[in-house]
Amino acid sequence: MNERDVQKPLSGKKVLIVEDEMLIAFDLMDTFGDAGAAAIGPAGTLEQAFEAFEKDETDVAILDIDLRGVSVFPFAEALVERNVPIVFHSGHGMLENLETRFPGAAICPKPASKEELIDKVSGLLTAKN
Amino acid sequence: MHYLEKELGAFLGQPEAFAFLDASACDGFWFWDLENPEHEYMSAGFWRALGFDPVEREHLAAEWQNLIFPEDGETALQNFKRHCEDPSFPYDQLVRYKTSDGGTVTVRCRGLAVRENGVPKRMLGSHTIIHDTREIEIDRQLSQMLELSSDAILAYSETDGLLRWNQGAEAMYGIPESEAIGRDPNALTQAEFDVSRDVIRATLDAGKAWTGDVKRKMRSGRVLITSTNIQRVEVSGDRTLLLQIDRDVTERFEAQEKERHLTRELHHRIKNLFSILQGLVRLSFRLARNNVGLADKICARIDVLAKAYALSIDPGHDKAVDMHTLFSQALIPFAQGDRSIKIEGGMQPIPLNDISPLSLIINELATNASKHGALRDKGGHVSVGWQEITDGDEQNAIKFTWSEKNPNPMPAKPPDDAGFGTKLLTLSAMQLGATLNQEWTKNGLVCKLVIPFANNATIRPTTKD
Repeated sequence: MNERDVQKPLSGKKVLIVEDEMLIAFDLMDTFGDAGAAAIGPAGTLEQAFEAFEKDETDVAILDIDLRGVSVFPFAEALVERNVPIVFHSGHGMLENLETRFPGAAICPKPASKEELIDKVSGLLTAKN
Repeated sequence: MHYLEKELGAFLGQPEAFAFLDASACDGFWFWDLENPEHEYMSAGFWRALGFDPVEREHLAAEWQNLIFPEDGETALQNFKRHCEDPSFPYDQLVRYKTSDGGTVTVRCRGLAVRENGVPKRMLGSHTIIHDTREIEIDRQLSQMLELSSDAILAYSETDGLLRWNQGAEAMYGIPESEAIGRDPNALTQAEFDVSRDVIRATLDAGKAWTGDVKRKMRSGRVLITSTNIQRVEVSGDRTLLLQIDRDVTERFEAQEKERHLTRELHHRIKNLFSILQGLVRLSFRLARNNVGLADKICARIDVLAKAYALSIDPGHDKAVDMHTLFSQALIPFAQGDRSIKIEGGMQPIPLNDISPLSLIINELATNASKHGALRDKGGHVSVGWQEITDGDEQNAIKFTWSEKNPNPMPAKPPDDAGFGTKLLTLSAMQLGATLNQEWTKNGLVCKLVIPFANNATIRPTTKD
């Protein structure tokens, strides 16, 4: 891996951000932008998530689970169907159920560090290729 | 022999003599066919003493075996066996019977085996109801208290199923005694233990009581949680009974479940809050032109979030907070000296989710005004107001207006160091699904925020119930 890859490990990748807290959402946008990715979004509702997904090609998605009381799972299922890897980024305590429902997904409990998020995303993209 | 004793012997053979003794000498006789032990004659006095109509009872041993307390029945059986083997061992003991009205009586039960060539063939017995001793009375009352307890109190054996099922059990499970007797109590109540039966058995085998919460079902299908206590008691020889007390703790259990749920929810909110703070700090640094005063600015924003959080967890605000309350609290620190802030608007509930972004918007506007706008100099004035925008009968949006009036002329343009403040305004508006419009006039800033309902179902005014 050359130096450029270390600094921009997600070069050219399209990362969709689904998050209803805008301070977190834009921090994620910046975090993935800094890592070389093209951050898409942020989508703050289920509808916006589906819209963004239809409009843009997506390599990987970062999903908050609870979007103002609405579960993100229907969108996550659509992603699984289209073979798009998922990182769940949530403060929910019931994360153990996720592993059975979405076996391929990565889980990043809130609050997560930048490195943790980027590592998980890189891991999923490597596994997919 | 005295002549009268001789005459008495003859008289006792007459039917009226037996009737007299049955009614006046004791509380009933029984005469048992030991060759055909299901057959047993019980006198009329026997049944009357227990409160039953003799006409309705049959001359079968099973008739009283259902009424005697099982543990006492065991004792009597052991004494019976010994008396049959050894005529000098008396058949004489106190036993408790259930009466027809659900009460309990203590009976002194005595008997004599009638032998042929030393082999017991029949047995004559008598009942005497014990009324007089205090100890027995207390025992009787205790038995009645157990019967009337609101806890379910059961006695059963592993082989014969339920022997006792008190009124508390009938009420708790909605199953009458007549249907419970002989059944396995835990199958009857569809018990789900959170430990294996082996663990319970091992505890009982060690001579200890087992206690735990058990999920059960009433006949109606309603689920109950009972705090159950089981212990094994030795009745006689190697025969044992299980005594069980079930207390309905469903309410307590549900309260604990609710608490667990609230705790989970709280953990979720706290983790989310940490994540928001991370974002706030990182974005503040990223957008700051320099680090001067940055720590203070970040702390001020954290303070706003903390106040918004405090408002949202106030027990008086279980679903929504009034806009007026929110704005007054946020703006008090800025209305100092000759600077005035007027808040105008009707009752407008704000969903809890929207408190943080609205608080951040107000704080950014007020902070900017105190640095560059109407709240900087004496005599400045800000008016804040909101109104519903309606389309027909539907309430479609809230239009919020922030209008500054500068005491001194100011340049009609945005301040140079808008940076993070502007970003924060934009992000918070996005979170509300709102449109934000800022206009710098020569009088000062006019900011309009339109928060639509359609974009965000949860912003609809909620009624408190």
